[in-house]
Amino acid sequence: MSERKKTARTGDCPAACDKNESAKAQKKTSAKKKVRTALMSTVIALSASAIAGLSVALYYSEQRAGEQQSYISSMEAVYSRSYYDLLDSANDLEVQLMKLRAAGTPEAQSRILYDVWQTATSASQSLAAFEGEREGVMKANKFLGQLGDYARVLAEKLADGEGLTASEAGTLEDMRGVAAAFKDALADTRSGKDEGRLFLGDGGMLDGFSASFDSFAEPDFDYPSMIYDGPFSDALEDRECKALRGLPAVSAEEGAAKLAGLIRGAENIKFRERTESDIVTLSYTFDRDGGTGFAQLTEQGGLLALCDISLGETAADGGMPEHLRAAVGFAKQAGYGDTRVVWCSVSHGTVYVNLAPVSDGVVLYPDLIKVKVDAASGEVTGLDAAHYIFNHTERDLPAPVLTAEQAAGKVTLPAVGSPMLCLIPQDETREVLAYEIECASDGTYFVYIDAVTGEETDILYVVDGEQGRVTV
Amino acid sequence: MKAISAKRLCAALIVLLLVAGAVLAAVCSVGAGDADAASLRQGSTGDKVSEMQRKLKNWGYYDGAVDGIFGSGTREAVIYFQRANGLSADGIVGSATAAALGMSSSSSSPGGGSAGSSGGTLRQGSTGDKVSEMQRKLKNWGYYDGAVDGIFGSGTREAVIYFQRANGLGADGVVGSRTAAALGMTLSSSSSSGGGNTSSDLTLLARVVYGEARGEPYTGQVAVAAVVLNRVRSSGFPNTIAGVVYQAGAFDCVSDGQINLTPDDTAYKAAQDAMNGWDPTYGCLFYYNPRTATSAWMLSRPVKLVIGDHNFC
Repeated sequence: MSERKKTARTGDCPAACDKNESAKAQKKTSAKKKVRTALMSTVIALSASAIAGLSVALYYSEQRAGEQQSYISSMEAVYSRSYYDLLDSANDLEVQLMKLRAAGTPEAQSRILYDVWQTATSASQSLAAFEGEREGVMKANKFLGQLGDYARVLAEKLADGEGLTASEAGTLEDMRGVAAAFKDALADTRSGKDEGRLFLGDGGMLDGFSASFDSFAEPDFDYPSMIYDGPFSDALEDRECKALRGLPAVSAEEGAAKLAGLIRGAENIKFRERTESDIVTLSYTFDRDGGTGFAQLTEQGGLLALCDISLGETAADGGMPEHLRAAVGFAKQAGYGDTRVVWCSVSHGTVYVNLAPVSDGVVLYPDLIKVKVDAASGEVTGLDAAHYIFNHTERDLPAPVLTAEQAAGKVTLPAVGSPMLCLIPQDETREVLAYEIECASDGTYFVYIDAVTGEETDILYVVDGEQGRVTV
Repeated sequence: MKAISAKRLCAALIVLLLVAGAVLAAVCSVGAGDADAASLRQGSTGDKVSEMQRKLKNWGYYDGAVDGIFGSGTREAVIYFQRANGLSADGIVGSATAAALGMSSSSSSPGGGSAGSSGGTLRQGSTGDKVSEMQRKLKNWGYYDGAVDGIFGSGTREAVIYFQRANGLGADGVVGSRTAAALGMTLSSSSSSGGGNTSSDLTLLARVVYGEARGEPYTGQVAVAAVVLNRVRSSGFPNTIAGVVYQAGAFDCVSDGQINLTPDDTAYKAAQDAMNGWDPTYGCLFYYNPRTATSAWMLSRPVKLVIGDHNFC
């Protein structure tokens, strides 16, 4: 029955059915086309996006590479400029030291030595652009520092009317030899530069440049010992602790007991180690009032050389007079005798008090003791007595030739208060008896007049800054 | 006719007088411009003098100290410069000489100026808010029992001397820089220009401490800052803090960028201590962490001190 119905239906409308079939097929084809078109469009869009993305990535990559190359080129330029400046300075140094041989008058010698000082300083600045922690480079830099420093000291001596001694002339001649070796050390790099080689990149000369000074670190390198009145003198490398002369050594246990008596409330004192710095010390840590502390006593004599105390909870309060008295009292308790406050400054909640011993009315600046006091609580939080330990000794001070009034008369700025007789460190190795005169004129100055010769020996200017009041 | 002539003559005279007055005023004002505080002369002090000295020194006219004080040596250098450059050689840096030096001639500070002479001091006869502040402090601390009236009289002077004696200061009754500091006061608002540099140094040092040694014991942080300062003083290294810190390969925190982190208070305090002279290393120039150090030369150096994770040598 159903079979017949089917046949009858199809047999009823053959043309219409063909149309329908055709329409269906067309629809199918059209749908397929649409799908294909959509697919194609998607593929094209994706491809376009990918190309655009790649182009953008490539563009930025190129830009980054360009920037990187630009940075490298800038660094190459810095190294190259420093190198050529250094080469110029090395040539100048050798020539200047040669000219010294021919200079017959103190004026000419002085002029050349000032030039040597400037050239050596300039060379040192150029060398600083390169690797600094290589021993040879450090030794080469030391040579430049000492040569410049020595030249300055001699130039000033000549300007004062004194002549060069045979020993000084000999040292300068030795330094000329070192200057020649310094120049030679630059030769390989010069050849490389002439061939177009670079400091950076594959096959760069940077490491080789630093290595070219390795000979300066050789034990047999012929370098004169430089003992003179300047800050870079070799005499400073083996400083004696004058304040410890003749004092007996203390054991770690004795030191701990001494510390317990000195630091109020110190508990759990532990000996850490014996250290052999320029001052041989015994190091301790301890607890106090919820805080911790670190202290170093000199092995010889058991003097408190340094301490730092971090505070826990504090309750007390006080003003500046209490803080100063606390500092003076702590220094006295630590064995540094009667001292005078010569400077104090407040910064970041800490009062830094500088104390100096006074001998026959003369304030001894070389023997400074520094004490820290917490500004809020008034508790002493630290002490540093390295200057005292290195320098304090019985001194034969000269009698002042000038009176305080005569010294004050030599100062052009308006003076504040009375001149103060003091001993000041000069060039790290000398001490000068001087009158300190505080002056005020658009700022505060301390002018120092040599109490024997009447010369102006130093000027300090007071600067107020984030680190409190400092003299520069 | 004669009357008209007289009127004209009077008018002409008045005009002439007005013109002459104007010319005279202009001349005077120009003269004042050369001689007033805008010029630098012997006795002047300050940053402008330093700038001038630096320029004269760079150009070879001056070989003295760049100390901001216009003394006789500076005057001679100015005269030398003026002669060499066709200027009136009077040793005074007025507008013409300042222009030739490539500097503006404002903001000078003659040494004898009234503003500067008492700006940094309180003494008998001084008056004002600073005197009141000082009297209040002296009164609070029991050194003074007079009135807080802002007048520095003999009673205040006695109190100052009493305070100075009690606190180990020079007892002269004058409140200068040192006594003011002991009183916890600042007398003048000047000298801030130089502070920028030293504050920058402190910040830079604190950055090194934080980048290199945060997490170390406090004394170890002071020691790291002290090593930087010891290098500045050493002949083997650059002679500025920035020179030492940024020397190639000197500090890891510069290589890995940690120097750009913001330091905490502890780092600042440690840097501050070192700048005030604290040096737990007593002159060491190097430190390293023995667990991470690879330099054979560094490892071969005798260790003088161990603090936390750092060996100092």
